[in-house]
Amino acid sequence: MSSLLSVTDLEVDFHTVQGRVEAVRGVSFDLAAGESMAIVGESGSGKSVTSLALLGLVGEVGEVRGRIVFQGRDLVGVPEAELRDVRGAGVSLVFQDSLDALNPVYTVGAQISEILRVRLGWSRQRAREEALHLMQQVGIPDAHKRIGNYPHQFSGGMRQRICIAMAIALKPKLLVADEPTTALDVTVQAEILRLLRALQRESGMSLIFVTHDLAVARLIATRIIVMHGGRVVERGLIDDIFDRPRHPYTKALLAAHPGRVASWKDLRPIPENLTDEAPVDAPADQLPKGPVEEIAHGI
Amino acid sequence: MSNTERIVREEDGFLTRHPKLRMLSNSPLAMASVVWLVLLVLTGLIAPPFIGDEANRQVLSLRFVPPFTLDHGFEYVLGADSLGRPMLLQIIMGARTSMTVAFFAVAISALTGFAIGVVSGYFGGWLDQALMRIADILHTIPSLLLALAVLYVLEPSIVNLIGVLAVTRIPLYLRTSRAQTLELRERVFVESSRAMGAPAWRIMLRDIAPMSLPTIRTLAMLEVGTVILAAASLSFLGIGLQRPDVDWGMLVADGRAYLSSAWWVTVFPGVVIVITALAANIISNWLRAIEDPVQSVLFIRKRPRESEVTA
Repeated sequence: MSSLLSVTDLEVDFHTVQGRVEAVRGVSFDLAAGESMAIVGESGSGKSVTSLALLGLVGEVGEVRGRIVFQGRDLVGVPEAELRDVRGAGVSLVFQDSLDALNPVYTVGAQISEILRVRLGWSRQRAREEALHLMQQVGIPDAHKRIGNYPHQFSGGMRQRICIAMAIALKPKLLVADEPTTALDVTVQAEILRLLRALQRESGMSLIFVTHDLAVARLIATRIIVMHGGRVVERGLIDDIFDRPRHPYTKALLAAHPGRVASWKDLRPIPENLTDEAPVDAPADQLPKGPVEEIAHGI
Repeated sequence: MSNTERIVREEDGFLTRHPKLRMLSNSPLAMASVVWLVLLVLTGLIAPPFIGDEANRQVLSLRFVPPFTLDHGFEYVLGADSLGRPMLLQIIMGARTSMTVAFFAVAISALTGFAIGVVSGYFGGWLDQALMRIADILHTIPSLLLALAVLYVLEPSIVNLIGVLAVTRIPLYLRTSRAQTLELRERVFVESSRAMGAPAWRIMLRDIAPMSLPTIRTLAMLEVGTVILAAASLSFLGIGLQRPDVDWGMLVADGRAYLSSAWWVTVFPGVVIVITALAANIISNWLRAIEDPVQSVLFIRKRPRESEVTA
């Protein structure tokens, strides 16, 4: 299988005043072209840092080791100028906070078309037409009217669509979405997920979806990586993980989801230090299945 | 701004298309300040070629002509100095030099400080540290003292005066824009630009500079007043400009000896200095206020009675 992206033994350290922080420990995975994968984990599990490392965005305080081979090219330790060619056109990123991800002083049209003008050298007119097309593609109603609007004039869901339009403007081979729906309410969340899947189907790009929400991961991805404490604790096809979680952390994560328990009293907090094999008192396969499935197949 | 547009759209005409002008018209103090500065700039630009000789012509028979009389012609309406030179024309000549010095000194220091601050803040590292220490050192030296020393060694001229005032004011802009850059570079839209493959210079130019520009602009406007005062102080001390160049500080200094007998020689240039510095401060404050969405509401609210009557 020719993989689009192959990550081997990825380690990220942050050197802080308090000392070294080991954010990511030995993460490895492969991703085929057109495949969609979810990275799931709680806050601080290293999932966001992993996704930033894929674009070389960890910054000067971070130290990256291991191999990130994208289209046969190792991205670790590559100079900034070379990484810039990969960013946007090869790997693209959608952020969680869409308001802050857009520059507040330019119109959305200017921001989308700037990418095309700078990276592809298009004329102002041509870039604007493509920006309009992209806005229609991501489902902005009355795109020709809204192209001159500023980011704060859009709702959260529409703004995230703009961010997606910018991310796919250069037709990337891989889209990394770092909790793109976390800041949105549930109905808008479903629309964005549907949009991402549709875009993926049209363009054949791969998708890495970073989330803390297992139900969301199930809607978008075929494969899943569960991260905890900077390590991958479990990986596999999404249905297998849901049906037969093997690692205690995964089991605990599933048990902590309100959709999978009968009442809130049955919810279990995730015990600490589950990287060692600790016993978990609510095995997921014995829990009543219900709402999660319905959500999954109802969309 | 959407709020502003909605309110303004209710009426038609010139002010509709220029919401800032409308805000200006609702704020008499800012309006007066703008009018004063515009007037000063215009007379400073237009008048000097026509009145240059008149202003420096010494008519000893008209020494210390008192002000507010038209007996000796309109140019003597503000009186004459110890050598019979008309005060009004001298003040207008002084307006040109003062405004030139203020404009170039502020423009040079603001642009340089802004550029260095953004670059220094964005990249950080040893260069940033070195630049900030230099700025610290510059900051500890009283700018007037440094200007005194430099102008004492160099020949006092407009160019040197501008140079000295510009250099001593750079740290102010440097620190401000660096501090803003440190904050802005951590924002997600900067990271988003990087994720789209934007090079560093583009991020500084397109993402960081526009966001800190309003602050720098307000600061620069505030500095116009400070620089006018500094230039006047230097001239007052006698190491600023030399005749035949005239500036306001020099006029104040000229009249010092005759303060008890001919107050007008000192007071009129002094008043002009104060009003100009004040106007620059008021405009600076007004600019800051209308940039702030919360405060700008105060300036766009129309007087309700008036419009109801006309409607």
